[in-house]
Parts: sequence; C-alpha cells; structure tokens
Amino acid sequence: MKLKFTLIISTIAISLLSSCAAVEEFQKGAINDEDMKLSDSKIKVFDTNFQSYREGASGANGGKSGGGCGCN
Amino acid sequence: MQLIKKTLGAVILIFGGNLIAQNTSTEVSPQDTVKAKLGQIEIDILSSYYDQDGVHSPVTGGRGTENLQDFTNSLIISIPYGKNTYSINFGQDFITSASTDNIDIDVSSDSKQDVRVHGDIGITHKISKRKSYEVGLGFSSEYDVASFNVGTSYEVESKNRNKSLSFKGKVFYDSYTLYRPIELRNEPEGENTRLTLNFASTYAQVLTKKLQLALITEITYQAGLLATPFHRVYFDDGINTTSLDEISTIISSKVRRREFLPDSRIKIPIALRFHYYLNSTFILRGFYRYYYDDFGIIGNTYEIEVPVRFSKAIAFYPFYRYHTQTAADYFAPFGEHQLTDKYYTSDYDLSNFESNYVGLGFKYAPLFGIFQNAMSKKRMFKFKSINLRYANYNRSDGLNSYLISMGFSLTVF
Repeated sequence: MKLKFTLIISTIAISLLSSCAAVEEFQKGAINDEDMKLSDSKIKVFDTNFQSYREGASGANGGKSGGGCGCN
Repeated sequence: MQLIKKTLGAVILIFGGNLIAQNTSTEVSPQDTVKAKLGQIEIDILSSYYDQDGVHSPVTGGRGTENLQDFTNSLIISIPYGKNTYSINFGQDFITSASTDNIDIDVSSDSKQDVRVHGDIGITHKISKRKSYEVGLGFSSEYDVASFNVGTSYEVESKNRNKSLSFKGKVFYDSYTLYRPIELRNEPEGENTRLTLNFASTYAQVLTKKLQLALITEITYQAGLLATPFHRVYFDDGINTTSLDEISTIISSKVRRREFLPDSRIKIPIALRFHYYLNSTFILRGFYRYYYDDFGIIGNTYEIEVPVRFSKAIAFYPFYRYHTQTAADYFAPFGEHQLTDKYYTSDYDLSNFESNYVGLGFKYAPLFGIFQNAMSKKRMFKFKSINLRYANYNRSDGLNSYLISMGFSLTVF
C-alpha cells in the first residue's frame, strides 16, 4: 500500500515537473497574485491550529509541529 | 533523560553559534549604515473563539463531556531593516474546559480553566537576491507545561525564480508539572519532559503561467513523556458502569490507570499543495496530505479553498476539508483495555475517525487601505485589511465544534 502510494505520487510529480516550460518574470501576473501564495494566510494558520490537537495526524501544513500540551 | 539534555544542549550551542555568526557576518560598515533602511512594518492582530462539545473525554476514560471554549489572541509584527526582517509573535489563549474539571471531583475547580501564553522572535537574513536564512526562538507557558523552542531555516530560489527549495529545523523542549487524576496521585510520577525534533523541506515550482505546486515533506521525532498525565484509562474488569455519571465513575471501584504510551514517536507527513489561477475572480487552492506515524496512525487529508474576488477590495474564501485516520495501536474505548496491555489510551484524538471542516472566509482590503494617517513627515500608518472566518468542524465520533476568527492588518511605511 505504502509502495503503491509512493509510486503514484512520484509518477505525478515527475510528469508534472518534466512537462513544464520556464515562465518568465513578466508572465507571472497570475502567479504573483496574493491568493496564489504557496502557503496559508496568517488567519488560516491561526484558526486551523486546533486541528493539531484534535487529530492524531498533523504537520506539513505550516502549522504547529510541537511544543506545549494542548491537552484540554 | 540524560540523552535528551545532551541533545538539547548541543542544539542550543549550534543555534547559539549561528546567532553569533550572524552578528559577526552582519557587522555593518559606515556605508552600509547609510544604505540600511527601515522597510514597511506589517502588523497583524488576530482573535478567535473556539467552542466544542463531545462525549468522549479522555479525562474520564473516553466517556464524558468534552465541552470546551478557547478565546485566543495573537499579535504578529514583521519589521524589515536592511537585509534583515525581524519578526515577533505573541499570543494568549484563555481556555475553559468542563473535561479537565474532572481531574478532581471538585466541580468548577481550578482545573476547569487555563491560560496559555506564547511568544516567538525570529530574524530572516537575506544572503543574496535568491538566498535567505532564518533563526528564531520561542516559548509557551500554560498551567502544567513550560515549552521552549529554537529553530532555523534556509531557502534558495532558482535563477528564474520558478523553483525554490527550503529546509527548516526546529527543536522543542517541554517540561511538565504532573497533574494526575485525584485518585491516582499516590503512584510514582515518572518522566516529566518531552523533546521534539522537527525537520521539514519544501520544494516549490511554477509549472505554467497559472499553475504552481509545492511538495512538503516533514519528519518529527518525539521522546519523553508522550502521554497526558491526567487522562484516565478504565479497564475491562467486569464492573458495569453504564448507569453511572462522570463523577460516580471517578469514585467507583472500576480499575483505572493514568494513560500510558511509548516514550518515543516518529511522525512523517508528506503533503502536496497546488494552486491554479482560473481567472481574476476564481482561484483553486488544493491540498493533500498523507500521514504516517509509528503509533499506528495513518491519515489522509484533502482540502480545497476557492478564493472568489468580487472586486479588487472584496473577496470570499469558501473552504472544505476532509480528514480520515486509523486508530493508534494503543487506543481502546472506555472499559475495553485489557489489564495485560502494555500501553493504553482512551483519547479519541488518537482513534479511528473521519472529520469534516467547512466554512467561509471574508476579506476586505481596499487598494489604498481602509484608512491611513500620517504619523510623521516621513511615516504613514495604514489600516490595510479586515479578515473574518467562520468554520464548523465535526468528527465521526460525535465531537462538534465551531470557530469564529477575525484579523486586522496594519502597516507603517
């Protein structure tokens, strides 16, 4: 199962990365849009913090990765 | 424990050295002093109210109220000066929990409330146009836990800025005051510290004029106290407690111990984020995460957010998130653990469940701000934007919660 998942992700990643052409700086009007940022907004990071307490699975989303109890 | 202290000492030395090295390398010449300029200061003020209820409190062994309210405030300041950006993050949580009130049998006692204070400071240094690194440290303090952290990160971009790679490392050291269930306070205390090592890498790439993605891989290692000292676990001893309420269960003769879990844990989440610019009105923001840990939890998380911009000033952010996870090997519901079990918990955060998180965000950000005012001849203050969010969260084990948050963004330029 794990191997299958890794293979699928790797195949998608390799095919996407190899098929892209270089985008010039003057063509990045859409890419530089604030809502296109590859991270969550501050308010979203702030209000999804509780998920790292309420779910055993956490991480890889720019949020809390450790520290403190959060055991309430 | 000795190993944890030595590791932490080594890490602090490394990061301390890093800070000293930074001070040395950023010694400024008179010419640089002239060039160094204070940039646009960004200030974010965030507040949220979180309210949850459920019937599986781990404080009473996986049965009982999980009613909880959390009022949170946070202040984030970012100050660019020359090649450095200084960031400060300070916040406070006010928590009221009916669940932790059951640590003892005194209703509405001190255990019902908690205040958490946390703060972080960091410096991001621009080495060149395409390279930067960051060092930072922080703390958090609540009734029973004091936590300290240090961290560093490094980021490099390709020449055409279509690719970037970043690495981030962080170390947390937590020290617990062991508040145990009232009837279990005669037992030996055991371990009371926790060390967390976190390492993450992010590879981001622009694929087309409208599509970009990021692959995030993370590994977290924890050692020390991983159980919560005031969580009870009731065992399968033949005593029926169906008709008892929470307090009666606590004072009953049913066999119970405090939660006990292994003293180390490895967590590996891998996530893919992809953002597509549909047109000036719609953007698609997708997120998928696969999670594995050696407690036996495997998780899959899917998320979609669609910013909808009705004008340059007004945007709505509808979002939906679906999460599913398997149970930890050490989880069993109330009264189902065997007395021979080596590790045991009845914390439903570690159980098998599905969760749905759905909501709507709103942003009002006029081009020239909501208002602006001159602070001096050279400095202006601008109230840049307002953010509001409402979200509803429900878990298949019956836990339900909602959250309201708001944020104000200000700048000084």
